[in-house]
Amino acid sequence: MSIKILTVDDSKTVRLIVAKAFKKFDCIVLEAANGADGLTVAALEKPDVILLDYTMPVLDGADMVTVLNSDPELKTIPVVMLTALSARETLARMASLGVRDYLIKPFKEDALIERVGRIVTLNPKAQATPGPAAEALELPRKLP
Amino acid sequence: MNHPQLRRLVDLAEKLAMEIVFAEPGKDNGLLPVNSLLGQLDEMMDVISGPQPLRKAVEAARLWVNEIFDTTGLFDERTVQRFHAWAEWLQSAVRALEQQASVPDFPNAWEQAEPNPAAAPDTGSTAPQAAPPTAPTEPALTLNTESDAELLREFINESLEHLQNIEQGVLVLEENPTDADTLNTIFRAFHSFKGGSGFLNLTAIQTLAHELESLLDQVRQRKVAITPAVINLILDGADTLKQFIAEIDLQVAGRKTAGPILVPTLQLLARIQAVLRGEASPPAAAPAPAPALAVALAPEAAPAVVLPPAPASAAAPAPEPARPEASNAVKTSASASSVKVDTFKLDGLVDLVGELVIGQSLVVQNRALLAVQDQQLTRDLAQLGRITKELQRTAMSLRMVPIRSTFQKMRRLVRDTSARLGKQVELILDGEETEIDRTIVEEISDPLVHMIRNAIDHGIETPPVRRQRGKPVQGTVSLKAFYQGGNIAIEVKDDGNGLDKARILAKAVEKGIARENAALTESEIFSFIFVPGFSLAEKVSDLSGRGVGMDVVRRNIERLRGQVEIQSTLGQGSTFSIFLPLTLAIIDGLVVGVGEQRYILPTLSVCESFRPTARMLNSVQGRGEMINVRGRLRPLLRLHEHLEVKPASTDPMQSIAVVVESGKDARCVLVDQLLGKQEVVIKSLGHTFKRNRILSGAAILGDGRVGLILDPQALVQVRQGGDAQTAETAQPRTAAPPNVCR
Repeated sequence: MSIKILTVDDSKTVRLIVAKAFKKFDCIVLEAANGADGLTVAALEKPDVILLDYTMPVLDGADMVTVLNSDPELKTIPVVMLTALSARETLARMASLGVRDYLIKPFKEDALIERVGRIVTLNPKAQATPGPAAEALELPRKLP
Repeated sequence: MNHPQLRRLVDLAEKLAMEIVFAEPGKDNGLLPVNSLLGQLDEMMDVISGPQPLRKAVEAARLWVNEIFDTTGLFDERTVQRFHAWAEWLQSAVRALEQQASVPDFPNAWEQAEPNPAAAPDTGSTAPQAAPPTAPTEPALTLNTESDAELLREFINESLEHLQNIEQGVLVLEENPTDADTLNTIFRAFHSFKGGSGFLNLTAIQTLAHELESLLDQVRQRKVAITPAVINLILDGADTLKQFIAEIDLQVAGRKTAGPILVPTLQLLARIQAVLRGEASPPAAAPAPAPALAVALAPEAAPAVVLPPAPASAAAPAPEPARPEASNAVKTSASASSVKVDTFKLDGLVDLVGELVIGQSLVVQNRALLAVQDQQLTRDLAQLGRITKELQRTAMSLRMVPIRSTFQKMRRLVRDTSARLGKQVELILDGEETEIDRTIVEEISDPLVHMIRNAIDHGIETPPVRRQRGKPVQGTVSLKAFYQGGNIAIEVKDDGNGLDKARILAKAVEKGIARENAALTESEIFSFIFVPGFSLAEKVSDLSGRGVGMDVVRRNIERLRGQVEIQSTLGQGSTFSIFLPLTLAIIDGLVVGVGEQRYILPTLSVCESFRPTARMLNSVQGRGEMINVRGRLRPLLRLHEHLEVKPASTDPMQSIAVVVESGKDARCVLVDQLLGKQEVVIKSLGHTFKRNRILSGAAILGDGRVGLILDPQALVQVRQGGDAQTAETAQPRTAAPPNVCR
């Protein structure tokens, strides 16, 4: 079964970058442009990971996590916050929400794959030639 | 503890161990994951009624993490070491649970999270802040137009939207400086700018956007007050970003060779930082290093800034009433669910649908098919016809967009123009959701800008004059769009000075375009202002008064097959009404035949048609052939003479006269026969046919033949035979709603 990744960001640029990053893996990238749409997609599709923008119109990232947390079916979905805010208060807020991880925008594609790879197992696409994608897979298996 | 619960516990422990591997002193890698996983583990404790040592361990670890969040937000040496040991213990504890053995004790020494000596309270920047530009050189941008083309295009699209949000937001802020929604909208816009530019390595934009974002953040937290200077700073920031975007757009579109983009930002950055430090913004007279910057600074030099008119709305509780409307506008535009489509694709689709319609009517009118007497076929063809028609209607509606964005742009224009002229003007928008053909929306913007500028410059009086005249000090310009018949009407109305008939007439006589003592109607006099070079302004301002403008306005509007009408009362104000067709792609046409040829007359311009009788025909000396239509003499136009075709008959009594109207003029156009009414998709004629003014386009008719579309305005104006009288010499013409017959 393909991994489902939901990217929620009001910037299509970011959504494009996320989709591009996971192209070589066996996963489906779902998109939503704000927290409200994100919730709808999350409830319908039960993604394996949610990549969530912190600052968004309609319903922002933090509020969306709060709603997710109130739903027993959705609260287990790991959320990675993508944010351009680097202030400490933000970090504390994200921690209190129990966000799984965060990345500061702009981030490198590799960093995104590495962080997500720590949460779910990313398999390269069947027909894809083993290349950099396979390397990225090594990381999460590093156990003490 | 059941099996799935145990598996989940093992899973959590493994993941925690893995994240702890990534923990490094001085970094926060793995910190949030550890926190999140610990939270989940903590919750499980209650569900599975976890053994005491495990509970203790989780509790202790949570304390350590919380302490990090309370202080630096970064792992330190001690905590990392502690976590390594802790992870090992957790593994052993879980293994014990798996084997249903008792969990080892939790080492007491770990329990207390001792105060952390390394935790200095203010080393808390987890990411590099955008470095303040200390270098005196302006940073240049270099694009990677090849590899990033798609992303850059998306960035441009998004940025334009953000810029619009910023401009609209700022204008709301002027009314209501503390509107939280608006502040958030602007903040988000700059924030997204920062994000997008960061990905694309557009450092100069990123730096500027970062500073502007910080500024807005301070405003949001009420640490910086919204003053006119701050508002100008935001607008200047938006303008600078706009310059960047325009340059990037040119390069991405390939209209300009790729090269470094240099837009001065240093001065602006310095101003923002000054405000952030709590200083008053530096004097506007500061020497500007680059001309581009001087332009950006100029508005600030003008002391006049539109302020909310406190005394004017004394009856209402403060400026509150304006607010919900304004912020709602922002909200609705943000939440409207829509899809952006490349206009190229859209036009392609509309074109194809047009072809489909033609294809459908070719099939329906196929002779072989017509010979078939089959009820099923007839029904199916009718169904196909309905669907095609519906599809066509839907496709056409895709081209329709609300006029809102064009209207919103005028807010900024009104603000800037009135500030520059030292006038107080309020812009009232109405009918922003009125939908109109996309092409028209784009084309109507320039004429509207002209008319609104004129309204403020020439119409609205200065505050002292207004006070003297007993008008509210604040002038009003209203912009309104609504449907009227098959047209859309746009109205620009001001409560200013109004047009001075006597002066216009005197000027017209002076210019030799009107005879003295000529009996002219009001609308005829007003329409002089559309004559090229006609200006009433005593002095030419940098905004208007050069006499260029209104003629261009009328030309632009007529090119869109629209018309302008003026109403004005001296001392009370003027109303300029623009009437436009809903779409440029289709017209409802009357198909007429002359000889072998078929022509299409726009139905809206056709008043009536009849077969002339001998009694109706007149020949007036010096005015050529006329037809008496219920007592009114209408000049006769023999269409075949102008199109050089051989008609079935040259005798008017054997032909049909169609009364065609354009503006206030009407004419009887002589054709052989009326063939029917049809909606046709307009195809433009190439340059070859441009010379014949009475042809405005071509269309493919139902039977697959080409029909030429006639331009009613040219028909009415064109000279008949060699006769002197034409509308061309009867300057000026006034405009009227095209669908009104008199």
